[in-house]
Amino acid sequence: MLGAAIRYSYLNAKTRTMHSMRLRPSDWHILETTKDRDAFLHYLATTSYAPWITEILEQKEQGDEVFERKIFGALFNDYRKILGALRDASSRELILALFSRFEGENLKILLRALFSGLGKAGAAHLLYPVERLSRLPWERLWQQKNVRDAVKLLEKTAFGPMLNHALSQFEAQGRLFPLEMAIDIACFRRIDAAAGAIGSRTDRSRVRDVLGSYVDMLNICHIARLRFVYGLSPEEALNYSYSGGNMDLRTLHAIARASDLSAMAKVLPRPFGGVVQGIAGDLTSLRLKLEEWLIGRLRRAFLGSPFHLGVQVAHLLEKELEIRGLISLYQARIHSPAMKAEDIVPGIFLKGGEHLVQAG
Amino acid sequence: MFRPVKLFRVTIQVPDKYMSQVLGILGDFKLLHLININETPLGKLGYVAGVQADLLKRYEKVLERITRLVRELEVSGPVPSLKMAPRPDRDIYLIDQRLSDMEDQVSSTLIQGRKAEKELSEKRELISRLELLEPADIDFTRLSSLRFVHCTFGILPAENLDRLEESLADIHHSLVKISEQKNRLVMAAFCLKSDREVLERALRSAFFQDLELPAGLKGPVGDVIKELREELPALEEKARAAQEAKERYRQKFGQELLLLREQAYVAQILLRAQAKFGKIDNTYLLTGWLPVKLYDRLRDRIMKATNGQAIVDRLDPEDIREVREGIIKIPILFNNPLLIRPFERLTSLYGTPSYEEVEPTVFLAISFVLLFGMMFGDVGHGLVLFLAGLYVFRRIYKYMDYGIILMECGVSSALFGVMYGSVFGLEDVIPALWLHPMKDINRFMMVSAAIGVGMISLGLILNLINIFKRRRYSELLTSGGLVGALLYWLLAGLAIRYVLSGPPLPIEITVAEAVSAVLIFIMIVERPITTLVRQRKKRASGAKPKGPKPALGTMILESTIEALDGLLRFLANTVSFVRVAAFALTHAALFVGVFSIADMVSHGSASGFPYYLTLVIGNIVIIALEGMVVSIQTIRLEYYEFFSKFFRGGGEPFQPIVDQETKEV
Repeated sequence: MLGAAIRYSYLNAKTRTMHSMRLRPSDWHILETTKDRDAFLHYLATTSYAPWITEILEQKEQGDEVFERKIFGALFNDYRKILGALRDASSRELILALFSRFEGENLKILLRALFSGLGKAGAAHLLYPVERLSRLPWERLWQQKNVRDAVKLLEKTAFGPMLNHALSQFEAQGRLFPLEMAIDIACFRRIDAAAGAIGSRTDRSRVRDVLGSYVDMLNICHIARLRFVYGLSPEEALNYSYSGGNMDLRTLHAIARASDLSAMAKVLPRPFGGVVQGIAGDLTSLRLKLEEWLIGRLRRAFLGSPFHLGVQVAHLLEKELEIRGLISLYQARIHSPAMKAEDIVPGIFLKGGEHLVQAG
Repeated sequence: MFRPVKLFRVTIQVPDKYMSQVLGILGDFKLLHLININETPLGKLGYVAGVQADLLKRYEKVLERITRLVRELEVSGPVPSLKMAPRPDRDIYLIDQRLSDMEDQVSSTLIQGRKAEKELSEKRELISRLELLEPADIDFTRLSSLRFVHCTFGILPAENLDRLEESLADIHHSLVKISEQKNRLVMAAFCLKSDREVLERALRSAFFQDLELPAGLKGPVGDVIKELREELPALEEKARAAQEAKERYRQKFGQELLLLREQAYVAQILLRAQAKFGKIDNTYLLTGWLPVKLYDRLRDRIMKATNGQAIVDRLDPEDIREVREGIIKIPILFNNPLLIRPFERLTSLYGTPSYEEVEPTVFLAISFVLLFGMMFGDVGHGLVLFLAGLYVFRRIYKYMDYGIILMECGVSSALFGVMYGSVFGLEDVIPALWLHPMKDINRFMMVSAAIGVGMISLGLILNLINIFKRRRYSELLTSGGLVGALLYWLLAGLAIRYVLSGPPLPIEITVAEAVSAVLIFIMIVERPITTLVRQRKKRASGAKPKGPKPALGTMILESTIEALDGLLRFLANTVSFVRVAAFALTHAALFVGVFSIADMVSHGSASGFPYYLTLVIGNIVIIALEGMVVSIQTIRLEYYEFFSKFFRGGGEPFQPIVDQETKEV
């Protein structure tokens, strides 16, 4: 305990400071009622997102994608701060593994650009600003002439083995889907391995607790999307699911076998069955319910003993969800102003919902 | 050698029917620096000739075909030089015809070779895939007789097995592990034929890599592999025969192909050059810079080829108003012997000399080789550098110039090695003809400083020559001109007098002080006086002075600081040459280090394998590391201490109509 206190006291103070700067329900309320895009951005410039929003406003960059990517600078800044304060290699690897999901997203864009013969300039606005943390050879990757060469260049990275496995399927099917799935799977396997490699038992169990909930939530949404949006079979949906969750393969298979969302809701184990009760039957409301539940779980990491790595992981995941919520609200302001915030943003952001935290 | 090649500005007017012949002649002469007509008044009026797009396209296609053939026959070697440049409009037919003949002869061999190699690699690939199944001793005949069961073989990422198993839980299936290699499982997957689609979907999503065995395999896998292996020698023989035939064709057509490629390449360049020509009605007009000595020959050939219907004019650069006013720059064509020529790259790296200044490559080359040799003096290391240079010179055509530089530096190092009596750091193999750097440090440092005085003096003299050539006589009175040079030589003379025969006499010191004071005074007042005279002249001519009038006090202060700065720079530049001795000492000291380590690893026995291995590794490290450091230091001395004294640069490099550089295939 004393060792953990020494190790985490500074980091914990730093993380809590960052966590305290999250948006309040009143901020969400004002953002919801802004009349247009400019008002939305100007209000956001008065919050902790100011440095990134000011940059967008100063540069007069008008594209929606610019906002949607630049705003992630705020999250990556927190990643950098946490990594800067962590000395233990296994803990750093976990944070970097979490970050690798964004590298993975950029890789998908890169592969799509190479596949369709689009240069970097054509895809630059879609890229997450990962440069300061990422170790991948982006310049050289963008210089590759085709997908195969790019995959070869990634051979020695965490994405390499899985991409190599998927390469034959990419060539057989002539589409990027297998490679995109391989990237996601590689990220979550890395996260799972990094969580398992953490030395301290307390750290490991608290991190597993946070990450398990996160991966379960993602798996439910992911399987539902693969099944009901992309029309994949149950066996494919199961094989493309992520590792590291609390649900076992049999449960995931049962979820994948469901013929529609309401059937899926019935086979979900505790506590998800209760969480998604009464969903309207669309994926967005399923995701919102699950995200709301997850945020409650994440906030629980801040209760009790503060000296463990779960706090940092929970903060980063919550901030990520907050940013995704902001992006959804921003898009709604532009494309469907009549839409209510509660239909696009987890309710816990809008109403506080400390009861959910206590209830877990 | 000390100045660029003298050039004329040549203007040629040719009727369009003779243009192709003239292009051929220009290609033969090569040394014409074309001026883009767009940069002349004629071009600005829109009289610009276009390129012959159709012909150019034909050449592009022909070049593509030649390149393909060169690649397929694996032809390599230096590019042969053309005796005569091609005539683009006529030669395309000859090149095309000859190329088609070659393609007809070669294509069947190439196709057969490709087919044999493809078949061979496919068989080998299949064997390697079947070998994965050998541990299971599979019988393909039995498998093919299965009526209700579907079977497939492939490789599965080991970490995906559990998910795959679960995903197939709803159907009757069996996943049989045959072997495991680096987290990859070689597997056989079975299911009912009616469930085949489910199995395939599951395998696909688990990144299962199908072995893709051809249909119709019979018998046990071992027998199939044996049969396939028996087929290999015949295929190998076929591939070998095709390779031999290819080799014969390479011998037969290799040089000719390279020549054709060069012809097509030069023709393409000539055609593209037409974009720089002007055209009025039916007359082409082109203009450019040509070496003086080539002018008569060029004019005679053009007049002969056009039956006297062309007009070839020349202009001396001094007669061109734009050149006198500095609007147009005369390009610089270096003119150095073979051993000096590679150093032109180093000169160009600093800048292109202007037409009116001394071309410094020869001084750079000699001093570079001398300084490098002094700093890297060792017979053995010199020999290694020479051999490395020889290898580059002979094998890597692209870097031939660097090969020559390496060889020259190697010879210089070896000669200084003889003078230092050092062979791979051993100082008792040959006697030192001059000195051992480590034993005579003071003397060596004096010599280095003396070399510095010599090189700086040379730089100052070259600057004086440049001043006279450019007729900027006022610069004679500056710290970089005659006054600065005299002051430097006076101080250097006193220092040499002190070193050689003790402290100077009081009268000598008094004279030196008085002369120095006068020289420094001239340096200080030169600028204010020049500025005042210039302003007075302007006022007398009625012109308005530009900008605010500079204050006299400020000008004197600035000149004083500049004069002191110049003096300090002289001192710093001279002392900087002591690094020559310092790096020669470092070279010797590194040897001491290597020998000490070698003694340590051999426990003081100075023999045995570890001892000699350490010496070899140590020498390699010294050659690589010290060689690089010494090169950098030499370039530094050349650029900052020597070139900065006289080299202004800002010239335009001569760009011949056809680049003569050797190209590596």
